[in-house]
Amino acid sequence: MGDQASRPGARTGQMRVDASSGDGLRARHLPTVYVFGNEYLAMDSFAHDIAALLRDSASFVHLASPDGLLDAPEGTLTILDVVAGINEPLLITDIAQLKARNIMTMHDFDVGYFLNLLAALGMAKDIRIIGIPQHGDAAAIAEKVRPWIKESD
Amino acid sequence: MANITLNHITKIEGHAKLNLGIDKGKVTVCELSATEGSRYFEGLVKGRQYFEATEMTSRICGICSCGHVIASISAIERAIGFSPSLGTMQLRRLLTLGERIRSHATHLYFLALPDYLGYESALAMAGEFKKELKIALGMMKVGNHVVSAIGGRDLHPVSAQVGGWLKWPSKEQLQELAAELQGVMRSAQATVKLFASLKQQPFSTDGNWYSLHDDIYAMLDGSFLSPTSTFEQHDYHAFIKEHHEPYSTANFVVKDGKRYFVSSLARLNNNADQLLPKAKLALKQSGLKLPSVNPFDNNLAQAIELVQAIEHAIAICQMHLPAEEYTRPAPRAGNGIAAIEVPRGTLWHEYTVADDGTITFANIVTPTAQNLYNMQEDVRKLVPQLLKLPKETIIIEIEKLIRAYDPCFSCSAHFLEVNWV
Repeated sequence: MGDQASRPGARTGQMRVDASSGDGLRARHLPTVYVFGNEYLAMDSFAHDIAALLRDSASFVHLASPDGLLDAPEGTLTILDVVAGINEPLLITDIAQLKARNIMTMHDFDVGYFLNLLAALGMAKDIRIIGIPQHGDAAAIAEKVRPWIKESD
Repeated sequence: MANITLNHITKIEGHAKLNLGIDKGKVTVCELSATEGSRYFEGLVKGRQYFEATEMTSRICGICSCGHVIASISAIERAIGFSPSLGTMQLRRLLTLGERIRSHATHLYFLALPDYLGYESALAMAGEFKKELKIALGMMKVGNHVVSAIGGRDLHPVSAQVGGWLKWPSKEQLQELAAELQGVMRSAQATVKLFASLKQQPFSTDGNWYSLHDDIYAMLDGSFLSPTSTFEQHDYHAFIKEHHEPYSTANFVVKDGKRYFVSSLARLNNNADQLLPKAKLALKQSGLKLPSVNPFDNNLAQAIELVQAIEHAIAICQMHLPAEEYTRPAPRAGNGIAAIEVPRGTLWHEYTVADDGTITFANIVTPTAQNLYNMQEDVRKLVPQLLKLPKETIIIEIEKLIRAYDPCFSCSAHFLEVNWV
């Protein structure tokens, strides 16, 4: 299982003090990105590595279970997760592209099911899924993903 | 009609299969089997230290992880002769209640309700039943928050340990939880109203019911009670017998060779007079007649338990529970048995611990294992009532019956595939 959700960050985007601007301290709003993946599995943990490289660009909420999405504010929902079978990062903005399946058991509340449900209920109006490969050059992938995260705000 | 094979019973927990043979209106074969792989948890904890069973057995199930955590802690503490503090017991109840809220809300709205409203799934219902599904998600969310705040994470809680709590919740956290819980009380009451309005199949099981019975509504302790007998937990070997059937990876459990059921309905049958005021009122308004031996009533019983769980959780959050420092108790040789009430019924854990703290024996009996034989025989009894119906309708009705038990086959081994043999 991945790390526990950071609940306060899950409810609102965090404010970060940016000391690099020329005219003193200024609070900068960061978009919230929900990160999925099992950090103990090499094939499923890469999103956590990418999030670590992008921590100045977003407030990352690491979720062990999609139930954590229930804490997301209604509106834009940005997900970072690994996608099997791709070699380059991928931005999915149409959740119809996700393989939809009916819930069969209580263990089938996967991210795809939850996103489809939240969209159907009007609880998530703008869903953006940043898919990354299972492996690769983390620094290069992070730089490709960075503009998509900025657009999420 | 010949034979039915339900190879994959949907909207239950885990995987099960039903083989039915029907000849001249009579059921000749009825085999309900868990098709999950064996889990080997009892073997995995052998040789590990007494304090490790909790984290390991939590992995039996993500839905009931809190239940396995608390049952394992309780049994280990009994084995080593440790008595937890009253404050620790209240937090254990609160953790278990959080899990009960999210599990019942999920089962009722996402697994059971689509059947009654004529939808394949909750997702298909979303267009017409937005309000209901939002009610469900709201309760699930609060249940998650309770588990997360008390257990340290929303799945496989880590704060609950043999001897106490690694991290004690703050007064502010408990006040925040109380406010959240109060916010979903109306949702739970609306759930009772909704499920009371659904038309149920008339049916009665021939199995007896069992649940814990304690000083308060059944949760973490008490004797094992049926309408005809009572057993103390430490005597469970004398009355619960597990056996294998060649067609199932889950054990079948019998009491004196006879089937029985455990569930929310069993708990209500035994303990309705101990419900808290709002839950008692919800029961009265629901029109549910107790005792009930109609397994379909378990859905309504779960809805009433939602009210009870929220009411009880609020009461605990409002208690003054001074923080306690955690110290792991020392090991001691012994054997401990603990039964607790989890969303699907009574869960048993037993451990034998050696002087140096090594676990030398473990046995876990889940609610679904206890219900499996009764579910199978209920199907055998129900099917002849349905034979004039189209095959698809028969399958739906069989699945509804099995879903009403809210089974968790992945925990018991151990969903429904029906083979018309």
